[in-house]
Amino acid sequence: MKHNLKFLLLIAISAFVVSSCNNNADDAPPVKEPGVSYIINYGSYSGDKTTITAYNKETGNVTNGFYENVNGVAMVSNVQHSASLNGKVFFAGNNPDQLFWVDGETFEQNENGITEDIIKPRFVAGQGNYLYISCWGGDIWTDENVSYIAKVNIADKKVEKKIALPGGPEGLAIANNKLYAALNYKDSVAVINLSSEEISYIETPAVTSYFVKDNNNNLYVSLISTFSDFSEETGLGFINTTNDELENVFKLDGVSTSYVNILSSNNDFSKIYVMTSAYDANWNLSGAIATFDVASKEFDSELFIKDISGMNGLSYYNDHVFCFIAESVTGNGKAQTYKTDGTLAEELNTGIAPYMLLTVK
Amino acid sequence: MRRLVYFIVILFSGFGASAQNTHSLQDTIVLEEVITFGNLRKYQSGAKIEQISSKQFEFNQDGNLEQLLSRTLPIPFKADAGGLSTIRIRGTAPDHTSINFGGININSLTLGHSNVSNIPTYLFDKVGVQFGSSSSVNGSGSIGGAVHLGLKNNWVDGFKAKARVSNGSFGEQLYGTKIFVGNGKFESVTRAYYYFKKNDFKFKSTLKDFESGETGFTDTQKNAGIENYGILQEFNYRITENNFFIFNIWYENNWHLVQQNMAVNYLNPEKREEYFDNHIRIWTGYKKRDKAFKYEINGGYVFDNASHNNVTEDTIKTQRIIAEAFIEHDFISNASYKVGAKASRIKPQVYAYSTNLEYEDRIDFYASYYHRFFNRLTATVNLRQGFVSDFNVPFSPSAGLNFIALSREKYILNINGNIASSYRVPTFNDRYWVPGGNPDLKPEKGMNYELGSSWNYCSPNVSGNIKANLFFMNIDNWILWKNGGAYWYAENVQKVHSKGFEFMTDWKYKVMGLISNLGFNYSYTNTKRVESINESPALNRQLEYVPLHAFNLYSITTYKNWDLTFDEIYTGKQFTDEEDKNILKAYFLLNMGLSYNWLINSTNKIRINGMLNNMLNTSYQSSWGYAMPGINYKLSITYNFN
Repeated sequence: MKHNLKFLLLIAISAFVVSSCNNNADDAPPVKEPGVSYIINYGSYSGDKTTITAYNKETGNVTNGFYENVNGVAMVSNVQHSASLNGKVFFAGNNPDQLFWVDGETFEQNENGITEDIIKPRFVAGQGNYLYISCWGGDIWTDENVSYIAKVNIADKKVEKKIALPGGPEGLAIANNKLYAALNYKDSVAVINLSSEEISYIETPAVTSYFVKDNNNNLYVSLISTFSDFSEETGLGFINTTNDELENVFKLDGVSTSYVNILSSNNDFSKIYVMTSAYDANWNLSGAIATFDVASKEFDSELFIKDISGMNGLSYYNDHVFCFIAESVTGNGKAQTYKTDGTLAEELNTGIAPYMLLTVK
Repeated sequence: MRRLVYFIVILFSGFGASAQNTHSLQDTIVLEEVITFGNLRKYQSGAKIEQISSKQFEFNQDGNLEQLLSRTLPIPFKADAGGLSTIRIRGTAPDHTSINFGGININSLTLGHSNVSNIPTYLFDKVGVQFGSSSSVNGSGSIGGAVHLGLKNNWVDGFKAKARVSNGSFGEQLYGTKIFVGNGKFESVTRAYYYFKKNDFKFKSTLKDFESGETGFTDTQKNAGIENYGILQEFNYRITENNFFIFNIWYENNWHLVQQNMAVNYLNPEKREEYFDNHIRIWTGYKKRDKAFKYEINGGYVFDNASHNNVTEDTIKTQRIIAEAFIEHDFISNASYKVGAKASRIKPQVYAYSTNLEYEDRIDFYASYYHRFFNRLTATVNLRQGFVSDFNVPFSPSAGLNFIALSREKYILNINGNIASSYRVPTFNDRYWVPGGNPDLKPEKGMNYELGSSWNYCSPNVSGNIKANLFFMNIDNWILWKNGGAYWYAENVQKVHSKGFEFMTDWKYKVMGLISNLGFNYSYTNTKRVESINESPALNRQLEYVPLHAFNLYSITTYKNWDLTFDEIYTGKQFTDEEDKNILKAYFLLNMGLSYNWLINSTNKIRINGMLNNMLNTSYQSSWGYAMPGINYKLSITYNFN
């Protein structure tokens, strides 16, 4: 407990320092990354729910059960995705379905979440006073027409509009005042003009799942093969957001179909790390990370890491690749951090089923 | 006199309320001549087999198998408030207990286990439970235990009928009837029931309202209704007392709304998830048991169908045809053997399976031997070898001894022991689900060591028994689904040791016109994951959903036409995952029942029964996050004709 309090104090001081730096941005060097980030642990759908692991990159300390430490109660949803916007951290949770939020500095939850018109939320992207949440809307695997985008007015704390979007929108990205939605049940990416809310589609050779955005606001999208929509054209697709065209497809076998963070880029966007899976020497299915070199537009011939049993997501933070591992959903997982040359740097204990890392902007 | 003691021992060792038929050998305790599970004990010396008494059975006629067994035997269940319940005998998984109707293991071939909430006690006459491994007798899946659903031969001459109406809290209703028609040789027995429960009980929520700061508010369970019905038809024909045909067909139709956890119930009150399953189970046979050389020829057919949220295109169906034949020979007065074979062809139709899988064939050959020495010692040996298409099944032997250590006019002391190997063929989902099914899985294997003693006492006004059992079970290649990065896949993951102690006692005595039956069952079940290919923090810790301590107490007091019953169930704390958090607290439930038997005349009888459940209004969970009902009642009226 004493240790936790000290750590909380340290986080508060760090947050204060970070915010002080921001207030005097002209005088201080820019802070690219906050000192504390949060690992989201999905938990178990039928048991323990999402927990948060706070990670301080300066000290290397991890604090598991961070949300519960702050709020005195555990989260009640399985968080599918999380994003920070306007000083708050928003969580899209399943089972129960809700959008809820905590203060970005204190992590305190002081308000009840939104549940109306949030059905099977998948991903959160924000701009201005609005959050856009991809929602499956029901059993998408039986009816592809039930899905939609929930447009949430953050100030009013309600879903202002449901934008019907068939095809099971999953990952989202905002670029050039357009919302891009990767469709998990249709070989397309949907493009929604955020002013007119008109929808157009970019055809893809496979169903899509998540995006990373480059420094020019263009998008890389993961192309995957699923049980309901098999494809051999898996890999990464490059979308030019100026003309909304799929300009290139970079093939890669075994791109993960997991509903977790499977893509991440490094800070200067020279590399994109892609979670894949393959059978190991003993024919056990294991995870791996492939590296896409943005300059050469090729995947490295050697995997960045491989034979990771229970790989459950990846992120890039503190100049390291974070590999999240969950062999089961009944026991805690871990995060392994790798230097950019692929050597293991650190192993962090997390909660059950870690899958993404969140930095609070 | 000794024979009298034997008889009374049989009577009060849990098998005795109704008339006995067959005692082929002097010290063999035989289950009643129940059509569908026959003689379980004869070839399993030293095995622990219990049967629910008829009084306890009568009090639980409105409920399901979970309600019956949790009140009467030391067996824990993981359950919600009526829609789903799974059995966990001696720390094993639900897939490790076979549930048998005749020669049919009714466990789902896709999931591996049964939802025991959907097994109505009303349709059956008896329920027997075998603790510990019995694959050598029951085949695949009987690692932790076996449950036998029994029907009793009546050989009705004339017409008999029963009708039952029951009404309880939260919209619970049961309507049932049993009709017996026969001429002493041919009989038709029809049993049918309809069960409905709205299940809208109130409970204390564990949630927090972040705006008011309130916790522990009262909520009402929504969308957790249940509607089941079933019919079981028997046609039986006997040529002689031990030479007869049977034909049983059981149609079961179950629908329920999947109960949501407390958080979903409060935050997404509209959420509604339907689960439907229906089953046809046919078991028929010819049994010739009237000579030293006996034989049976049996056959069966099973159709299982399930759907979730009415999505019928995602087919989950299996069909099986089963044939079994065995011979049994009492070749000398104190020894016999049995040799048989059981074959089945299984045709799965599951939307997520490989299209290459058309059907699977299974055949088991088995042999059993029984020998009695010096009227004190019985020894049995069972051997079984199964064959499954494209899958290797281990050889499965067992052996047991039962020794009468002391035999006096009023009591008998037995000491027994049993060693049994067991196995489970992985489910179809484990092997063929796309993606993640793994055809290269090894079978789960178990070894069970049992040592027990029972002391049976009988005097004119007091009779009873005390039983104690020690067991050790080793289960290897336990199958779990592992995260493969892209998808989850089935793998032989862990090895589990389960050891423990079970104490059971049951006493019946007469005082001043009162007939009282008191019982106490206690189990200490130390079950640990000793090896795992996963990095588990819970190695050598108590396994999830296995209470270290559990007990139940019951009393049934009969005075003239009145029966008063109390039962108390204690379930110790339970881990719900591999971390030392989210631990279910221990809980204690107190239930009572009162019945009045009104004998209108020699042919008409009415029984009025009232039950008060969870009298202490205990707030508890049996499955993490799921609400359970507080105090509730049930009233029933049963009319018996003839």
